[in-house]
Amino acid sequence: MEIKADKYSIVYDQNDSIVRCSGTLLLNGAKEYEPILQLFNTATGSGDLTIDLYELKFLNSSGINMITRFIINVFDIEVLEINLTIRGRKMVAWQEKLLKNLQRLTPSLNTKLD
Amino acid sequence: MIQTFGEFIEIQPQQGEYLTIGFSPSNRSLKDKWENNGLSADFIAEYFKVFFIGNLYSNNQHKEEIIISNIKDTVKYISNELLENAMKFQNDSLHFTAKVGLSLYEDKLAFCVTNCIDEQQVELFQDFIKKLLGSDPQELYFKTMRNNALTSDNNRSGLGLLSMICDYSVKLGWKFETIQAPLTTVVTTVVLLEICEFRKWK
Repeated sequence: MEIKADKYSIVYDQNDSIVRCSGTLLLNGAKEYEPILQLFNTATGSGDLTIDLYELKFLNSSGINMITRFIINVFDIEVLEINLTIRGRKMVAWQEKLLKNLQRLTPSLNTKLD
Repeated sequence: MIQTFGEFIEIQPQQGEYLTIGFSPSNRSLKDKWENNGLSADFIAEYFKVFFIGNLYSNNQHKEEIIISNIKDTVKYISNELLENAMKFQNDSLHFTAKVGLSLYEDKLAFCVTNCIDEQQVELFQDFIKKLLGSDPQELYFKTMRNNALTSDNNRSGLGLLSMICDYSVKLGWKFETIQAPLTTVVTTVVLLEICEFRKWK
């Protein structure tokens, strides 16, 4: 399962249960992020999941919004019993800030900075 | 009529280094214009890097590269969010050139975006600003994230402005200027980022 565009790609690898996000995500609002959110939601159907932002260069606030919607949906709305991990790059300040915020928002979330 | 909110300062671009980009009204679709936001934000961040960052750090090469990359990302993020807001709320029926600018000062960076908005948007925007100024921003940031999760119509949530305050410690100010014939409201948003904030980043 994947979404590929000129500036970004979102690829779900079912074998290792990782959704890899790369490139630059500057989409306009919740509507344009909907296909990515749907891909994330579908990926939770197979059990434990990692959303890997390591190769993501840039994310706008609508993208942050999409990720928080996904996480709140998993833990607070659907209350899925899965291990969800968000992986980011330690040296990239915005990723570190994002992961800290997500962790504070939903303490059940695993975050991995390396 | 002029109203100001928050820590608004008039930017005097004639002093020091500055860059301003203008966006004239056109028939291009919002989608086409949106494509330009990232490009303009990249350009502003690159300009900042060339004309400013080089003077900040000159010793530890590796650490320097990481810090520079993070500062550049921040300049891009703020520029892009301001441009996105200007594009979203710009009233295209008026012949008004929206502008985004970056001014470099010794102790701070000032981002400034000017656009005109629909009259129906004025009250909504001012209500949001008042809520923002009267709240604990961290609390409002997390509350907004939670509320946004429950609704799909969150284009006006203000999450971008909140993230600038909470994640990048910026100061925000606004000026609303009403002009008659035709009735137009011009909004100037100023974002101040203190240089000392950079020192806290790794």
